[in-house]
Amino acid sequence: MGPRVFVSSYLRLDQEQGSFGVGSLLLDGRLRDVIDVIPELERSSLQLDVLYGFVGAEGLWDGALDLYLGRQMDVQTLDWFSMDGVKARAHMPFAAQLEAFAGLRVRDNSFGATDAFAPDGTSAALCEEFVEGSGAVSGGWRPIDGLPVPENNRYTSDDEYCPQREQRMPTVGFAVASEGLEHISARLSYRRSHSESPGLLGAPDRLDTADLGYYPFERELAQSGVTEERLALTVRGNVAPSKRIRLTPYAAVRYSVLHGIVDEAHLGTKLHRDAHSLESEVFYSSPTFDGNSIFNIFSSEPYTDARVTWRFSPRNAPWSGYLRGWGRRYHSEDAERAVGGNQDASDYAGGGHGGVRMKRDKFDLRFDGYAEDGYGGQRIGGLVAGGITLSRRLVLHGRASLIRFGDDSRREIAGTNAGLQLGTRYRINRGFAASLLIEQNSNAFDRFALAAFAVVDLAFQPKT
Amino acid sequence: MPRRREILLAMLLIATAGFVMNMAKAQPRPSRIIYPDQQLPLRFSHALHEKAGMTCESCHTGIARSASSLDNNLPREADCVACHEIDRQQPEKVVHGPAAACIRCHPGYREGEGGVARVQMPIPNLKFSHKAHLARRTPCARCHGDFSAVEEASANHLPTMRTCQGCHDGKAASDRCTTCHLAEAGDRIQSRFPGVGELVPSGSIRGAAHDLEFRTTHKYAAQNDANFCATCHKKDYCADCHNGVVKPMDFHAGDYVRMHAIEARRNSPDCSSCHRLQTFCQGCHSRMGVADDEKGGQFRGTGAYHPEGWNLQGLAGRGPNHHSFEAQRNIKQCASCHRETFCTQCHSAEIGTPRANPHPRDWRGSRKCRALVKRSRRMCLRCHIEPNIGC
Repeated sequence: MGPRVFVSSYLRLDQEQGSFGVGSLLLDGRLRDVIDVIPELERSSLQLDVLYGFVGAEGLWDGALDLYLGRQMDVQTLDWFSMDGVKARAHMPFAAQLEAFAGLRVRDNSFGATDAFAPDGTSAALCEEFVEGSGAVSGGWRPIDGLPVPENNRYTSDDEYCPQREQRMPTVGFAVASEGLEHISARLSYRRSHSESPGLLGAPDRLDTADLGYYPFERELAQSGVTEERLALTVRGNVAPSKRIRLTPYAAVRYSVLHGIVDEAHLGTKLHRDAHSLESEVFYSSPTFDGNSIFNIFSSEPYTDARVTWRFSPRNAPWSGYLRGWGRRYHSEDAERAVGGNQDASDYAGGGHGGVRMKRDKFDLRFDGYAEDGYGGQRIGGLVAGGITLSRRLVLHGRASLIRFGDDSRREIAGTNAGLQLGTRYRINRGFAASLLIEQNSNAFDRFALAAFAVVDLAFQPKT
Repeated sequence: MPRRREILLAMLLIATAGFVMNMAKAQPRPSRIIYPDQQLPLRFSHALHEKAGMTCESCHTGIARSASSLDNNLPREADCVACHEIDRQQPEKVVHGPAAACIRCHPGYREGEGGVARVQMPIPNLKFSHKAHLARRTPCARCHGDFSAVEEASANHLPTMRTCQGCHDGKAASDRCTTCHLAEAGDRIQSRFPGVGELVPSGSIRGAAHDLEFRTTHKYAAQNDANFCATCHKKDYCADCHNGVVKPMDFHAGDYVRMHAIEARRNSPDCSSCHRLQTFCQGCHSRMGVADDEKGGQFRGTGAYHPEGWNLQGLAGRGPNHHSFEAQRNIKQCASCHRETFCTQCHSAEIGTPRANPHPRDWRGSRKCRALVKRSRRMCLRCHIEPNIGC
């Protein structure tokens, strides 16, 4: 088989109708476009999304090399990211492959970008600049003045100017992965993104004070900054000691070089016997953010989850099910919390989930139930959902749920919700479908809350 | 009375367990997606024919020339006639030797009632060349098993993938998925077969069984080997959910807007795998007035979101509701409403602010401090108005 050259792309024109993202609101006696007041809403207003678009050439050099050029999204270092650049993958003769990539990280200010792939932690609004004081080590951060003349465009925000967020973010990385091994797969990956610090904004005489050369702390102090730097290792085995038994142990760990900590780790094993499987796992997380975000300082409490799941999935049978129990412990470093100062915020959370699904011919029926309590709040309830495929074009589906809930931080947010959803999807043509969903909810806050949603999907692919 | 209830409950549990175990035994037939259900209204003993010295090719006469799974390689009447003196004009013909009456092979046949029930053998959803395998002298039993004691053959005698992998290991024969599986554009495995169902991994290759709640646990399989996922899924399959505008209806519970805070505080499931906190969450929270947006808005006035004692200044006397505890544990929740500037109003070293120190215990000298100062001093400068920051 010779080399394969192809183009793959996913474009999307995204617009949320209704008054939520594109409406107006009255502020200080003046009617203003809502996205000028709340710039974050710009992400749900009219925009062209280029989720990916790249040229690929696979099987070059006698099948030893794959190349990809363009916007590509990928799973690296245990997470998603998106990049405009080039990626090369070399298939080595000794059951391994090497990957290397370089490019510009897609952030929400990039052309045709969606925000979901941007490192989290910094907002689109209230960007600040440093305004110098009268001498060294003086001055302060102040919101950047917006554009002098509002453009009055309902689809773009006028007021926000965030030079730091508009900086290009060069990204490089590599991965070494096993290939073709029967019982084990492993992957070591590294990624680093950084950006330059913006210089003085606008003309030196833009501000009332003279430029004393302190902005921003003279660039050599922070000429650039790392936004993300991660190293991750995953190993997964799959062995079958007998015809009926199979064991899948796995481990994953991610080290954030930027933060100097292990920010995610996962260890577990899954034992299959015939149609049954039992999985036990431990997961550790210490939340981290974009290197520009001060949230990295505040966040200091990791947590550990332990989960045990039993699954039942008989081959060729119309039904399957699962039961799961889980528990979480937060590792507080705050002495006052540790000695019980915070009586209301439990250091623990846990609960159980279970579900059964029956799928036969045109019918699909599913029941799920759960009970959870501890930090965060309480959720006890279940739902039954089903669907009927009336024809290759028409599908009906519905769901009824009954859930008792209580937020542990605001006791007044508690109650029992009874919900009913009914929907239909009609495939008008290949890749073109219309969906309608009607939802009714009743609880202590809204005795009768009826909502209807309609979606026209121009990139529809039937999902069974 | 309570004792009786306990006994009933125990019996119910035992019955359920028994049912489940029994279902597990009700096993295994090769995939119905690869080999859709067949109807073989025939009476035929492979064992008897084999004992009579016949080989597979005696009846499956065209098998050595069959290069495609589209071929129907079942014996036809003409193949049977070689031994069975079948005469359609005499459906009940009695002969010495191999039977000739229709009903001997076609159970339920009655003369004058519209012929025999037809065999229905759907085309399997895979590529296969008997010709190529026989040319390599692969014995039939290698794939179909030992037929010396088999009466009627069924789908159970078709090979499973594990059988194929016995030879297709990348050395003796290609282990490329689309060597056997039907391919779509991009050399991906065709996994959807209208009217039949969807082909999903059983977990035998990577342990990535697509079971009932794989949708919430697939991360752990995908992060290890995304290339394996790519054998079936195009990237848009991922993007449809992870950055989709149309969400699966049953992912979030009904009235999720009212209840999402519970899951969001636990970050379970991880909100940020589909939503960016500081645009998706904050945009909505600001718009709805949940966030105490410094810019104000028509919904302003709902600042009572936090409990009493939340904003008590100073660490002395802080109670269980103090925001510092929540911020240490779950700053993501804060970030869904507040921008950094909100925090720096108090937590900044800038002169004129309360200069409340947000660093955790033992910060100075910690590895995290050193790493951040070394790689992202820019972040430190947001609060520290001094050029010489160190740990």
